[in-house]
Amino acid sequence: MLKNYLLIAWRNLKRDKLFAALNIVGLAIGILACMLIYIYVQDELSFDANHANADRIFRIQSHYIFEDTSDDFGISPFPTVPTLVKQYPEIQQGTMLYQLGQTTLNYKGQAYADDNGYYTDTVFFHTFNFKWTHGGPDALIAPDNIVITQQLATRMFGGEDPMNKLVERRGRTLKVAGVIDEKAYNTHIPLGVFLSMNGMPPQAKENLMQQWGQNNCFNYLVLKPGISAADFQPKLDAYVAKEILPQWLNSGFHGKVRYNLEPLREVHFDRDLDYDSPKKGNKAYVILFAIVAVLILAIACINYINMSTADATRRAKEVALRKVSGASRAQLVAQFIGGSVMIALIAAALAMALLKLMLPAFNQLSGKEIGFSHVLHGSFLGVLLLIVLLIGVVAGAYPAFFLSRFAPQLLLKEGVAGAGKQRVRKLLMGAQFAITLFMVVGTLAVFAQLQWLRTTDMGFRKENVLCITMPQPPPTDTLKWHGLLAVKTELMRENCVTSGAFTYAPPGQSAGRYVFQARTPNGKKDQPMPVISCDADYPTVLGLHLVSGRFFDPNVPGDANNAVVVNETAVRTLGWSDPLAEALVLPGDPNAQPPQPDQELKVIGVVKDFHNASLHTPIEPVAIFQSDTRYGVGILMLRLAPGNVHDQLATLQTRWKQLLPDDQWNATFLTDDIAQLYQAEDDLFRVFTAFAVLTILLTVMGLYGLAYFTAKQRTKEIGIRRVMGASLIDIVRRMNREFVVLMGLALLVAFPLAFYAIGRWLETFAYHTSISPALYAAALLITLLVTIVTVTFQAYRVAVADPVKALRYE
Amino acid sequence: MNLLQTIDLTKIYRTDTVETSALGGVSIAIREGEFVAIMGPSGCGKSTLLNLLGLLDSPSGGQLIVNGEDVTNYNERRRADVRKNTIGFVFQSFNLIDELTVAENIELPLIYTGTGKSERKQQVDKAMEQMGIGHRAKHFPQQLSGGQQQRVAIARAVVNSPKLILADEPTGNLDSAMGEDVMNLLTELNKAGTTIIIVTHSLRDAGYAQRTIKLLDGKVVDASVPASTLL
Repeated sequence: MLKNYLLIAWRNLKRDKLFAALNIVGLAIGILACMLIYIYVQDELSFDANHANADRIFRIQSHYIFEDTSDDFGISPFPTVPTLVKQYPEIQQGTMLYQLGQTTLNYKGQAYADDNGYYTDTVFFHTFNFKWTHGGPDALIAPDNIVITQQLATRMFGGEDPMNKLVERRGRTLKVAGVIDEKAYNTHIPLGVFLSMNGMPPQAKENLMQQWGQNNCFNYLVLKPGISAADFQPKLDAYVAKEILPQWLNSGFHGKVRYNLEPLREVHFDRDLDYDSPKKGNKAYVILFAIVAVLILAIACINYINMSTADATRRAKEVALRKVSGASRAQLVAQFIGGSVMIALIAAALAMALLKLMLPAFNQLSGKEIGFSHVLHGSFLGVLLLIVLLIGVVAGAYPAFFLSRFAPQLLLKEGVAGAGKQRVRKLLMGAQFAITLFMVVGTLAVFAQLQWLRTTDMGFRKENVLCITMPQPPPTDTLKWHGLLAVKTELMRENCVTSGAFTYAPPGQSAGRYVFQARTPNGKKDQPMPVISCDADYPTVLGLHLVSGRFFDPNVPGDANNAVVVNETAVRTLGWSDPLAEALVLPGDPNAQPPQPDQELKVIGVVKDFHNASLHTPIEPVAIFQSDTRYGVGILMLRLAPGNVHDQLATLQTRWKQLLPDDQWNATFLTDDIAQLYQAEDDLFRVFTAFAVLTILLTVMGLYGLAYFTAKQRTKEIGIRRVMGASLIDIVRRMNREFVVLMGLALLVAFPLAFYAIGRWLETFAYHTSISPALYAAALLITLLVTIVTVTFQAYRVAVADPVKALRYE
Repeated sequence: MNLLQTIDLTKIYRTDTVETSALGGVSIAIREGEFVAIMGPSGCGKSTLLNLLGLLDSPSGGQLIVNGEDVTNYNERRRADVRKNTIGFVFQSFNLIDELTVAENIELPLIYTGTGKSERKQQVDKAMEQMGIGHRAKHFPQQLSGGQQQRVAIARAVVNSPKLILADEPTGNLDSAMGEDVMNLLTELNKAGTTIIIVTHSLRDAGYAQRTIKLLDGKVVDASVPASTLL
């Protein structure tokens, strides 16, 4: 019997190839969309899943709570892990990554910079399980050993064996003892160069062990089996209150401190912390994409159901004969579902072929690097099979139940058209319109916000600013540091450069946060503030607007070390009526070696608020000061004159090579760096657009099929109308009316939902565009146009046919 | 023995605004082995009566007894069971499934009685031979003439050896030669013991039957007219 079912299903497909193509391609597109989103979601959820003890690993977040604000960090002080491990038997082991920032290794006279350098202990690679291409977890036992990534190894050594290669960093010879494959697993840790803590100078280590006032490490604890974070957190809180807070208070800090245990698997999605790993996922987007996948699959199934029931007339006779021959309803339903599962299997095979073709484009769209072989294992095939069965059963069930309920003689005499209403079909079509309208509105809204983010005035001039990463010589190499100042002067001699300034970090990148003390109308206050560490030319290069006072003056000696410029928000927050009479005090650290005194910075100017961080966050009080040479020379910003950018870059790079032949040229444009802040939104827009296009395509296919069957069904009616004198326009308009009315009803559902969803999404930005009604009108227009074109095509085809042929139809 | 019996059988079709009485109390009895024709003008209820006798529809009132069983209030599932084991159907417009070959069309009733594959093949071959269409086994209905299609339909109707064959205007779409051919086939089957009921407008076709039941306006006006008197 199964063979009979499959045979007739196959022959039905061959008999009406248009119907078959629309069904199979439509389902294939729906399955493909599902699979792509499943891959994306699975990849996002796979961060740090590969570590053996992942469920017992926790990162220590640090929270510094002031009167009306708090600082929340993904990092915590250096002494945290050694202290806690010694104190608590509940901790199986602890490990840390002491951040070095950009790290340059020299090999055969060539400098290779990596953005992420760390000192770490020998426990690290036993806590976190990475894939090793060379060496293994014990690589960092010897003090001069390092572990690097495969990417860096390839850059430095090409195809040579990297093991035991000797490299140089700041006058110290180091040996490559291990190489990890950074692409093998997803991790929140920005992988780079790992130096052994055993090689850290003992004095430096001792100093760091006293510094509870500085956050500079990613710290991790592995709790013993049976100990939960909820069990351990109260003990940690008690320890912090008793042992750590007093040390903070001794450093001049006034507030509360709390360390939180953050489950490892949640780190990737936690976007609320400063000083955290740069590449973050967005759980809301993961959920959104999952919903989109379900919606697209729903549309594909709706298409299938609608076309199958529309095609029911053709199969009515077959169903009747089977009933006459004794088939039960269950057997008929089984036949239809079997046929649907067969179509779904064919569609799945087509979807897999399309997936292989489209995976590279999808990777580019989503910023992922997923290979086809990676896809074909694990739960992927299981999920695919589940989707096929679901489609087969759900999408096949309705036509099956619809047809099999009619009495045989009714089917034989009148067919299905006269036997049932089209209410369900219209409802499904309406649902399809609603989903399409929602997707189109959503896509336009994301585009509008993205455009606004890219083009809105950030309060400074970001165009034509080149940011060059400066080398970081050893702290004691004063000569080299001063030599870097000359680089600015020399590069500014080029005709293409109009101005230049040093800064620790350009807008959009974090340069640090300090807790200043300030006088306010309510008394002294501790105020955490992001700081901008720069030279005197910084305000000019970025075109910051002065509200009162002045900018830094190189001729005023005090400006170099004792002056600060604040923004309007700082003035407002601190309640200053005369800011130029005020000062910010940077608390010293009596425990540091040597002890650091308080530093008073006199306010010399107030600058108009500008967006120093991304538009996700509100403008905070900001302190701009000149620091000493070393901390202010991280990035050289050069404002370029209008001209040929390619030639300008070539000129500057050539000059750089002359000035710093051993140091790598690494330059980006500020506009690009700022655009990177919205990478997640950019990815969202591109993915959303792709799926909106797929949705429209599926809707068009569904409409085409439905319009085709509707036209066929109404051939006699159309023929009579034509004989009675109806024009082509009359016929086309009549056929379109049904679908346009459906769309009108659909938008009553879709638009309020879209309004709510868009509103909620925009609330995640501190600043956002306003979505005008024109956007909704545009979405409606696009969907209406697509609908009318598709339906008109079918309507016209029937309307121009000879009316006599239509009347002979029966 | 009566194979079929109806007692005051009625059928009313209802829509939102109109109620139509298609049968207004029909009481007939068909003995096993009879060849009966049902005749009457258009709209008299012949096809309605045939549909009820064939358990393709359920009556609004009265009783229907098939092979000694009161099937009046059977649900569709039980009606399907009775149909597949007892009744074969032949339609005016053949009603073959276009996607199935001749052999596959004939095989259809056997699939629903759960007959095994090899036995199905045997019975299908036998039915095809009986109807003289074995050489067309792998052809599709659209490749056959009207007469050949009706032979396939008859083969399908007899393949599981039903006690009763119901034929609704079996020669309606055929020319006289093919029609005669079909009626001869039905007569042969009747001689072999199968009870045949045909609905027909054709006096010639009714002449093959032993008895004619005449209907008018949903009522039996005469159930005992010998066929020979109609010609």
